[in-house]
Order: sequence, then C-alpha cells, then structure tokens
Amino acid sequence: MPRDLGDVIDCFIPEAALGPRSSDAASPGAAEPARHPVIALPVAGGDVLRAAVAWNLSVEISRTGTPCTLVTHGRPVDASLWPPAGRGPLGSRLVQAQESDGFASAEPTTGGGLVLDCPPAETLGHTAGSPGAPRHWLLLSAPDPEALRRVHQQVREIAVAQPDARIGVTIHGVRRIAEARAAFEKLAVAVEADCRASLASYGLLVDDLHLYRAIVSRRPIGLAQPAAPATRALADVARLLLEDLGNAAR
Amino acid sequence: MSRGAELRRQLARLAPSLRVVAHDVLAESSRIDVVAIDAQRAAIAVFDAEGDDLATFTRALASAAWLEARLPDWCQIAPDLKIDTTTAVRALLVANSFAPETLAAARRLGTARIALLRPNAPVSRTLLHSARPPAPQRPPARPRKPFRTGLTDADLGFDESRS
Repeated sequence: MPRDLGDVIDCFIPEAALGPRSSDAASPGAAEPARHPVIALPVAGGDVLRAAVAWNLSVEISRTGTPCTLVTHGRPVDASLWPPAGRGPLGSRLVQAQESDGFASAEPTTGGGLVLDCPPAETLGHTAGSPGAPRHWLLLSAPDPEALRRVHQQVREIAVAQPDARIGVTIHGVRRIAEARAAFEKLAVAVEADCRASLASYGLLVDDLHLYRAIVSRRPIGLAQPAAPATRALADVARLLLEDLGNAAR
Repeated sequence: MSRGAELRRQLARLAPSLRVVAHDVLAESSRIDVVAIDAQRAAIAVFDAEGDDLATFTRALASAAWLEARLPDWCQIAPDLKIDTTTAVRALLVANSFAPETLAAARRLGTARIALLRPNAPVSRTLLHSARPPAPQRPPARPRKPFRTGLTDADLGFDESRS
C-alpha cells in the first residue's frame, strides 16, 4: 500500500504518456515561431497618448530602414484613436486586428521588419498569458508616483503571466533627463524587489503637441517636426529598441 | 459510512502524508469536501467527483481560488498549521472514473492546478495527474539595467533653469 504521495510517484502518468498531444505538434493551429520580432505596447481604450506614441514610434522605426507594422486591436471605443488601416509614411503600416484575433493576427510585414502590437491595457494579465503573446513589452510611464505605481502593476501582471518576458519602460513627460533617470531607477528597484524582474530602459519622451496631433493631422512628428526635441527623443527610443532586438528585424 | 467519511478514508489510504485540516467547508456557494495540506504545507482542496466530475471540476477550480484568497486569514487563525500561502491551492478530484472532457481539461490546466485521483484503479493508474507539482522556484533577480539614452538635456532643449 502506498504510504505517501511520494511513494506512488511512479504511478503518476506523465502528461507525455497520456498520449500524443497532436495540437502541440505541427497542427495548423499550433503557434509557430514568430518570423518577425514583436513588441507589445499596451494601449487602453481612449488612451490618446500611448496611441500617438505607438504610431509615431512605428514611423520612426520605419525611418531607420526597418519597416514597422503597427497592430491595433479593434474596439468601438478606439474608432478615432488610430489612423486608418493600411500603408503609412516611410514604409510603416497599420493593421487593425479584430478583438478576437489575439496576437495571431499580427501579420508581419513582407521583406523583414518589426511588429509593434498594441493590445488592450485593461486585460493585460490575460493578454500576456495568451497563446502567441510577445515576449518583448514596452510600457510608458510619467515620472509621478501614481503613474509609476500603475506601470509597476502592469509589469507585475506581465511578469506573472510570462516570467521570461523582457519588459522595457520609456519615461515620458519629463523636463530633465535626470528626472527620467530617477523615475526609471525608482521603478526598476521596486520591480526588482517585487517581481524579481529586470526592467530595460528605453529612454525618454518629450511632451510635444505635434506628437499628440500627429494622428489627427495624419502627419507623424518625424515628418512634421524632424528637428524637434520630441522627434529626437522618439528616434532615440526607436534606436534603443532596435539595438535590443538586434539585427533580427532587418 | 457517509460519502465524506469515505473520501477521507480513501485519502488516508492513498496519501497518508496529506493532513486533513478541515472538511465540508462552505466556499463561494458550494462546499469543499476536504481541505488538506501536503508534506510541503501546500493546501489542497479535495472534492468527491463521483457522478458528475465535469461539473465538480469547475466547482473545484472556483473553490480552490476562493480558498487561496483566504489562506492568509487561515494562517492567522491557525498559525500552527504553517500553511504555505505562496503556493497555489490545488484541487484534487476523487472519482472512480472521469469523463474524457475532464481528463482533457485537467491536462490542459496542468499539474499545478488540478489532480485527478482514481481510488479503484490499479496502482499504476491511480493518479492521472500528480497531486504535487514541482515547487515553483523564484528565479534569481536579474542584474538591474541602467537608464539609457543617447541624448543630452541640450539635445532635448531642456533648460537648466527649468529644473
């Protein structure tokens, strides 16, 4: 008679022994390795700031020679949040996925490139744990404590769903680089203690009305104000992202 | 012998290391037949699944979640139990047979969440899923990465006087 669960450990039927799991093999529905690097940038319904950053960033990435496909997830509340789907400036592209499509709809660009996927921020934990979810995440935070606390919570949700996720943060709305550095370090320390995760830094962004008007005017800040500080900051964020993703996107 | 008593007898026979700490616990809207802790002090919610195992499966998951949220309170009330509150509460379903859907669902969720126990099966087929998943190990903290930017305050038009 078994005395302990440990005594009957040999009786456990390993999952593999329960029969072949055909769905894990080469079935049509099985997740395939992503052909293109995908970065997730969560955007909540009606979040003009993050939508503007995402679109302008996709154009800025494309400007470097790496065509970027921006994937938005269609929700009625976001009808006016994004530009129309289709080809955009400098080789960028916008694809509007249906809410039910998940990440599988992140149809990559042809001839190399990078996908910037903007899943709903409201269901981050679920999204991060869904099949095919990207491993790279970019979160934006203002430097104030409340914003840092919200992003800390987002990091926690992602880290729980994906312990191996690579999460990066860009600080926006600062007036000094030192302010961005202090905010990032404060967040990184909290995340390290709480989630045992290491945040990557993706620079900072400068508030500029042109950035937020870009979608309405259908003119990205990189074209409207190529020499503006906000454009330089955005280009720096794009550079850091591409550096981390290596040449795989090219 | 009542079904609850029979369930506890089966547990004592098949897994004596499980320590029954409560039985017939009212959860959200139904009862957990047995709450036990294993040798590693992790809590397990045990259910008699005979008859309608698929419905019990759903109820077990919900009740395990309910229990998990209350374990810190239990620890205050009964600190001697030394229940491990960092490990997810697992559900253990006991029945002589399980529907294919239940097996598939259990397989899908994995051993960290659910175990199925068949008391009447040959020993080699008793446990369809391990009742004890490997203890989750917190990965070591990765080295902290520095703040990065290739820009200066001057590049961004930041004026010293604005600080």
